[in-house]
Parts: sequence; structure tokens; C-alpha cells
Amino acid sequence: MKNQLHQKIDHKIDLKYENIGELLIDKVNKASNKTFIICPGKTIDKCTYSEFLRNTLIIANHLSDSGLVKGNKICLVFNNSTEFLLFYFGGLLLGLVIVPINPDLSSLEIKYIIENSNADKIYFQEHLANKISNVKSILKRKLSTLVVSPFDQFKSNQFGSKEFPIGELPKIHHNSTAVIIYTSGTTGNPKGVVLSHLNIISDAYSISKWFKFSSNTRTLCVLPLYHNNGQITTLIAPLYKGGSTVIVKGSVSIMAFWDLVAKYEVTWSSVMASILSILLSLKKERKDNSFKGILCGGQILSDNVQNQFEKRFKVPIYEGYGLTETTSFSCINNYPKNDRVKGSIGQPLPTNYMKIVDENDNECDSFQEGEICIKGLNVAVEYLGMIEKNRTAFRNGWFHSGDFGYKDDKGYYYFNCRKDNLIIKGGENIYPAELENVLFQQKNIEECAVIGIKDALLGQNVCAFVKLDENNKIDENDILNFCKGKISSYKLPKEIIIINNLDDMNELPKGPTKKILYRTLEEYYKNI
Amino acid sequence: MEENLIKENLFLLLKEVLEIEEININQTMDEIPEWDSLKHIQLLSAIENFFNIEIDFEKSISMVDVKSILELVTQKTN
Repeated sequence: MKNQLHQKIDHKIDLKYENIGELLIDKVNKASNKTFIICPGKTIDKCTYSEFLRNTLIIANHLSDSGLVKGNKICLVFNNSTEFLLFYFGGLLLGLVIVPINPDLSSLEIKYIIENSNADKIYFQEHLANKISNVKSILKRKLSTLVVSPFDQFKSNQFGSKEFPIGELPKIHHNSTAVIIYTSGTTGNPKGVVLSHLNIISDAYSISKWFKFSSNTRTLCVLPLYHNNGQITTLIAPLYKGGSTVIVKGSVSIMAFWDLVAKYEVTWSSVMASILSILLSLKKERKDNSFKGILCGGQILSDNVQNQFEKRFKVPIYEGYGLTETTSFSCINNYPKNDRVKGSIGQPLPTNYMKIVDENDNECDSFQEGEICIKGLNVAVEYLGMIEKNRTAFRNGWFHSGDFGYKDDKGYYYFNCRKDNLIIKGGENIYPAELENVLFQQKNIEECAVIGIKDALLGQNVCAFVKLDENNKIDENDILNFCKGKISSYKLPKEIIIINNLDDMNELPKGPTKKILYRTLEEYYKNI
Repeated sequence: MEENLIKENLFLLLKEVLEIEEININQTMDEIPEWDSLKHIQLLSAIENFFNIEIDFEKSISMVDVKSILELVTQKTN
């Protein structure tokens, strides 16, 4: 298997490892008694490199005994936990493809991902039993599922103690698929982004090199591991240098952010801008001497938030830019802090190139706005099963991001806006079509459009403009209740505006081709 | 603050933040679809601000059902 054109770079980089399993085993061989994972929760799971590998091989043995072989796909519906990590690495050691799924998704959304990825088995945590039971009842084909007990229970009971022999692990080429991460799609259904072992190792290599990670690096993972940022920036990147990661179980890690940094002497973390706002809103102060910085991406970081945060907590924020399609980051502002260029998303990582192009794919001059394009070792292989989308998004040997920005005359990149109407709420991507498709199923809704509105804490929230038919008998609550259960709760509209009740709008604003003018709606909302 | 008043205010906060109409003492995070991870952070932040308390990390881990939240807020407030 060869790298695709959009993954090629001209310079040589020695990544050292062919696959993620090789990376893990090498680190175990070099520092077996060193702490790798700390997972605080009601109980604290703590594993050295060798303990972690031993448990991973037990899971690999279970997966193999279940009949799963290289190339099979397993869905992992887990919150952040040690269990997730063991299935993630256990599967990767065997050459399985990991499909992580956000447990907050609705049953219908989970069903779509399972069927679209053609998964072979589903593993999930105990508290999700009801949801997975619903999913199973609506799946088109029968599929094996298994509930996974918490780590402190299953390490002695659920999966036995037999380890898969390291010498019998299959050979895994760096271009083999490692993970498929689903991200919001413009049409309403999520797209499966296919990431190879090479993608993940190269992005981890770049991030660890950028910030000079070492075996003393300890990251705090507050982002969900079912997304790329959590997986790569705070797990695989420190692993690349033999460092360690603190991963908090469940959803309370942001509340405990500074406590965890102090207690476990954390050196780095990666967050969305909305998390910085949440930390600013809490009454908790920093009390450590270890923290070196925060990597921030995924949402626009305002000067105001950055300045307030750095002034109050005395921690530098390094803004970067990336997408699931670039594994995680593709550019980051300079390290150390005094080399940062204000307002910039930085320069390309060592494993990828970037350029700005106009509508004809010609490279733009400095300071001229255009679409941000990326190519390199960390650019995804493809979207799963989307031939046309692959042709357009990865055309001419470059991944076209759909994001607009510019480059200055010194080679620093700046993010301006998205080409489409993507809403980013607390770091979660939501395309208007996802909610619009649900709204259109309500028989009294004649037309609708969903926009992003400003939210002080979450960055953006969701607002739906709705036009009712002449019966006009339903209200905002009826519409909200109709949507509940059909889409994840975090995608539900914060506000619903029924335009039949407005004096100055009879129908949704449209252009000459009858396309809804989302920007006009955004302007309208700002003036309400 | 009296226990009944704490409960009343806490239930109002839960309903407002989670954007739900009904809540009862026996409900847990897993049973309420609206109570996702983003809302959970907003909820704990709102509780800290409203009741003027600081929630420790060790305590926050168990705050995944209405009963334990009420117990903790009552204890901290008094």
C-alpha cells in the first residue's frame, strides 16, 4: 500500500515506528516500571508501562478469542476510562480498526455509525446498557455486543489473565487503517474519517517535537478520547516520548482541572477555547509549579479570553489549527511562549505542508484570503465510502479544509472563518443539516434553517428558524419535544424562532437560486 | 440555608441548566438524555456560583445523580 498523493512530503522524516503497537512495546522495553496512565475517578487506576501492556495483551487475547482478526472493526462506546484505552490499544495491536463513538449521541446516530462503518462487534460501558439495547433493536443486522465492567473489576474477572503472545502479533503496515473517527457532515449524516497508523504516529511525532516533550512530560486529557484531539495530543504524543497521561473518568475533569494539574504534576494539556472560558468562569485558581502550557484549537480563540486566561493563571496558550482529517493539529503557534506570533495559528508541523488557495485552486499571495489546504503524513487516507466527497476534498494532491484564512509574508497562518455553516458548540461540531433533517420530519414545519449563535461559555449554541404551515398549531416546546430523542441532546436548539410570529420576516431569506441565506439570518439574529 | 430551600433552588437550577421541565431526587445523569457532559460542566459551575461553594475534585466525581448533588450542596452550604 502506498501513500496517497495528498499524504506525500518531499523531505525525509524518521518516525521510527511502523505501527502504534510497535511504539507502545518499544516504550515498555525502555521504561517498563515508569508510570504511563493515571486514571482518577471513584477509584484511581494507575498503570506502569509494563502493567498497561500486560492488561492490553489480555484484552487482545479476548478480542482474538472472540474471532476478531486483522482488519475487523470494533466500535467502542466509552467515556474516558482505562477500559477504553485497553480496548483501543488491544485492538490496534491485533490490527483491528477502532471506531470510537461518542456515548452522548442518540441511538439513531449510533446506529448510523455502526452500520456505516460495517462494524463487527460493539463494546460499551455498563451505564450505556439501555442505550445500546435500543440501538440493537433498530440495527438492520444482528451484531455481537459486550458490556465492559470498570477496570478495577474486570482485570481480575471479566477477561481472565491470559495474554496474547507478543511474538504472534500480526504484522501491521503503517498505511493500515487504525481508527475511523466520525465527524459531522454537511448533509446531516456524519462522515467516517479513515486514519492510518502512519497518520497517528506522524501527528504525535510532530506535536511531541514541537513542544519538546520528554519522558518527563505528563499531559492531562480533559477532552473525550472518542475524538482525535484527546487521542493524539494528550495520549499518543506523550507516549511517543515515553511520557505519561492523566485521564479523568467520566465528565467532571474540567471542574477539577487545576486540582489535577497540581496533584499529578501535569506539564501540558490540550483544550478547546470554550474550556478556557469555563475555567475563567470557575472560582478555582492554579496551585501547581509544573504546568508549562496549554494547546488550544478547534474553535476561534478570542484575544480577550487568551489575555484574561494568561493574566490570571500565568500559563501560555499555544493556538493551533487542525481537523479530524489532519489527525489532530496541522499547524501550531511557536514554542516557547516568547516566540509566539499574536493572533496566528502558527506554522505547519514538520510532517505536513499548508497553502492557501483561491476558488480555482491557485495559490494565493501573502495576506490574500483563501481556502486552507493541507498535505502530509498526518492527512487522513479518505472519508469512508464517500467517492465523490473524496474526489473533491482531496483534489490535486491537497486536502481542502473548507476553512478560510491567509498566510502572512513570514509564513504564519491565520484563521478567518469556515466556508460552510458549521456550528462548534463546546468543541463539538454540529452541521445545520443534522438538525434541519430532523425538523423537516415534523409535518407542520414548512421550512427551517439552523444557525450558530454566540454563547459566552460554549463559544456557539444552536438556533432554529422555523416556518410553520397554514395550520400553525404547534409552538416552540412542541418542536423541541419532537426533536428530543431523534438527535443528541447537545445538538438540540437553544432557541427556536417561529417566523410566522415575526412582523418583519414572512419566509426564510433566500438568494436567486433559492438557497437559504444563512449569513442574513445570522445578521437578523444579532439585531433581535 | 434550610434544607428545603436548598432542594428547591437546586431543582430550579437543574431544570434551568438541563432545560427540562421535571426532575426528581432519584434521577441520575444516565437517565436524563439532556444531562450530557457539556451540560454537566455548566451545571456544576452554576451550582458553585449560585450556592457560593467550591466543589472539590474528589466530591465532584460522585456528583452524577440528583441525590448526591443535593447531599453535597447541603453539606457544603451548612
